[in-house]
Amino acid sequence: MISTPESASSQTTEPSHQGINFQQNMSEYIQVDRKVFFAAADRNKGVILDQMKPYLDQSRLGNYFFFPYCYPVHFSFPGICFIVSYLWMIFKYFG
Amino acid sequence: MLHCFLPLDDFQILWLVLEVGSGSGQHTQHFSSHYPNVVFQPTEYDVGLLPSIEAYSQDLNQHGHHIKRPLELDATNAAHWKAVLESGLEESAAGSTDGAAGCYDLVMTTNVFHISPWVVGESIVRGAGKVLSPGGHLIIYGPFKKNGQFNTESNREVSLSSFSFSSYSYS
Repeated sequence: MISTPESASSQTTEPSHQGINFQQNMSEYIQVDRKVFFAAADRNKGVILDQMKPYLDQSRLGNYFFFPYCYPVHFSFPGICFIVSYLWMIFKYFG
Repeated sequence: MLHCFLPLDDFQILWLVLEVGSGSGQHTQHFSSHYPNVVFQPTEYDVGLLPSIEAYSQDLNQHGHHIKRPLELDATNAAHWKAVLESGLEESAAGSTDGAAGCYDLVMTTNVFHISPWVVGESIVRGAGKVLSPGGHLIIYGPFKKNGQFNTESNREVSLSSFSFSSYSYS
């Protein structure tokens, strides 16, 4: 059966018992208003972001002109970064 | 200095990231806090958690971050994937002229594969193939071993705890 997806508007947070078990250990779960806090998710978020960085940093390359402070390589190789980001922008829009 | 002469709106690079299985929204909030220029589309199978994701998102969106309204995504449901794609295309139509097939630069899923039925993993890979833009990446994060060893202590804990999820049935 095909169902249409639900949106989050005006709902209250009611994670199902099954869902909680599925997500994390229930003993490490608290809820404040609509926000659910899983301790395990909080513990590993930094590790996961570290693994994502090589990919997510590509978004900063495209925004180099506008967010140069976000791209640390700039300080070591500013010329190369400038050229690469400029070519990348041209490719993105006109390629 | 160039931004003084270039129209920012025309040259703003739009980066779309789809997160499959956002859970409570804690991870989405953490990622967006470090990448305010990226548009995140959170999704979750458990619709009861969508308001939590939205609550976390609103905190950052008030400060100019870009987390879209979370969508229900049962990875095995083609209609859900279609809605996810349409949501992404709405964003890309405003700032990108990339191909019409897919629109997401990145599809990420964390700690889902090892605690869900195999068909879910297959469906995520299949769905990602439909919504990713050419050259996009699918990132599967989980307690994988490298050279027979977990690379972090938290991954070892997740792997051990996943045994308690074995009775979970995906309906």
